Amino acid sequence: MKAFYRLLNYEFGELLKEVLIICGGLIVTTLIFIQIELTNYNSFTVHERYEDIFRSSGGPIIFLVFLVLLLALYVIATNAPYMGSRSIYTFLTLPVKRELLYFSKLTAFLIGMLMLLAAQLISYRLGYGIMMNKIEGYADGQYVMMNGLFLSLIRSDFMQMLWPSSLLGITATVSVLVTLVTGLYYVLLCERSKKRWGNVLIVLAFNLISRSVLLRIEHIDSFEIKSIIIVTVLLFIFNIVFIWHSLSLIKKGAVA
Amino acid sequence: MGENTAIIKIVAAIKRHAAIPLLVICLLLLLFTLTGLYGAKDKATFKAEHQWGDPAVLDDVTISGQLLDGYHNASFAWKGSDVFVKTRLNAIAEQPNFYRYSHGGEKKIGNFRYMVYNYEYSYKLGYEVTEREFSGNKQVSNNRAIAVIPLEFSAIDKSQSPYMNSNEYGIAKIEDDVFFTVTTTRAYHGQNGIYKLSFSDDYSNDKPVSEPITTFSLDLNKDEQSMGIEVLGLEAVGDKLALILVKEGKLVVEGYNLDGSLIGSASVEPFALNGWGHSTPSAESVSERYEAFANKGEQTLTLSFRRDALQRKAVTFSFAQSVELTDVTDMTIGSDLFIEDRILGLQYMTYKSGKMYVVSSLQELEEESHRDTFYATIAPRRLLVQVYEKGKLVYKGELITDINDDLIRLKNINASSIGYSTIDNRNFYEFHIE
Repeated sequence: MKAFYRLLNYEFGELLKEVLIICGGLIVTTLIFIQIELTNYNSFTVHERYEDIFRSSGGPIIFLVFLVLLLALYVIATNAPYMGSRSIYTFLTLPVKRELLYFSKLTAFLIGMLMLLAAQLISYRLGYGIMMNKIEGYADGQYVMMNGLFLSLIRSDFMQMLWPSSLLGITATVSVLVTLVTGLYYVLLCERSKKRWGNVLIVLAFNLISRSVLLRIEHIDSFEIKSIIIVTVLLFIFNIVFIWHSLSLIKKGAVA
Repeated sequence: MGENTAIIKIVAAIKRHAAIPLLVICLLLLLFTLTGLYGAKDKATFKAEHQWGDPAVLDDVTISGQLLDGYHNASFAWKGSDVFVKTRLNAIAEQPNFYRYSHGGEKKIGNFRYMVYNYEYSYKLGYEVTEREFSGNKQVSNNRAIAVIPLEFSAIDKSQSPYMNSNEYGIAKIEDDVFFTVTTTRAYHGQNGIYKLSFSDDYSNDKPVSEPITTFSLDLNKDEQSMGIEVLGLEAVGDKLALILVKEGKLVVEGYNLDGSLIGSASVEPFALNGWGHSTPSAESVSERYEAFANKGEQTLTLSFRRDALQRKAVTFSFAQSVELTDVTDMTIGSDLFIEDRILGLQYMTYKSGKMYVVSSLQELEEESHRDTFYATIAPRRLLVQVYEKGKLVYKGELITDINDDLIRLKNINASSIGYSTIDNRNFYEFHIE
């Protein structure tokens, strides 16, 4: 356990500065774009609902960009020990179980992902504050929606995908985000071990992820809940395969 | 130099232990923010506003209903001066399954929808009733029943409507039993009846054929001097059936037990109808297309007849002992700029402890020319409650909600870019008074 704790903190420490920059970047960029979207708002203009302002100011795309940045950081962090100092040799000779090497890195990645999500939620919350601050100030606040933040949260397809209230929704979201991390790590390990067929699994998993996202971002009827359950279960199975095969690769000493 | 090394040491120490604390901070932050955000579901406005009269009349009734869009559904119950609200979130956005009876469409009773088709069967009039059961938006069963009724149709004037009301007015349901009668006009002779429908999912033949629990003769229609006998519909009041007739120019309601025995009957006169083949519309005449509201507990049946867009004549019969006429209330709902809900035409009324309670969703128009246009669909909605006693208005109140905040985004908008959907905008639904 102590070895795991040390390894986890080592891996996480390597990422910390960049993850914090990415999180900060997400919040600042989102807020700037919301501010720009609101520039022309006055008592004679159309006032969109907050969920629409968030969307048209690019909130979901900005999140996607910073998510890609975070994943790119993970690629660099995974490949780094194989380059330059080639510290991977040191790692593989450490007197710890090799599974710990894998899980410590994976956990560090997942904590980073959680931080990005928290930053997203904070930016949504702060963005609403910016909007309220502006529209409360004129026309006697007649453009203010009672309980608007709650309504925007449940009416935004994007926010409902990231922050659902139902157990099924939460499970589906977790399955997508975790698969992104385990899948990415897995494909990198395959690359190192010259096991190219791992790419096939990744393509399949990526298809499932996009299916899951599409199913949930569109207005759909209740009978499609079944499809979401199937996709989510499949994603969890993929996760198990990724983790199991990653472990076997790392045990064999994926160095190449 | 020493300071620098100290900072480096601190940074290194933080790095060595950062993972778990940051994880915990993130989780707590998410937990608090999300609890706050979702906790706000109970912060919507639901406030009773007494506008006129003594609010004490609301003390022993509960006015309930829903306020919903595709994402959430708030059920409210207004008792006295308090409003209790329960909000449910939809796991996945769904098109609200609104139902409004339209002439010639299906009649909804609970989760079931009924539709009547008629055809000739061995020179007799046959009626096929389909029963579709729904669970949410999904159909779970589809059955049909057949009733062959010894009626003779002798329409002289082809332009005359063959029925008093659409056939679905003849359907009533008590527990699991469905009853049917034909809404015959003066042009029918022979025997009508109340038929207990035997449903089956077998579409291959015309069996089983439903049997009547009681029959009644239409011979009065042969007498040229008489004003004849006509059937407006069939309704359920608790475990009794109410046959709504127009006999000799009077509105007659006959009560039946499920075995077909007559409980009694009561009538209202004069009663002028303004549909096909009836007196020309006058100030007093009402439309045949009534709305029925049964109060199971009080054993009363209220029939609301439409005089025009704003006026209703509500007649209430008590089925507690025999059948008695208990109340006639002429009511005016809204005004020229204050019209009934365009999407759902929502209204509910009930007669309880000597008072007539009416709840309606009304829409405020900016100008009268908006009445039948899209502007009426997006006009602000208000939920109003009226209470009448012995035909006189004694109370007026309103349930204040945030429903019209959904329309804020339409302010200052270019008319051509107005969009409206019941997924993104809240609507009232399913009013009830107990």
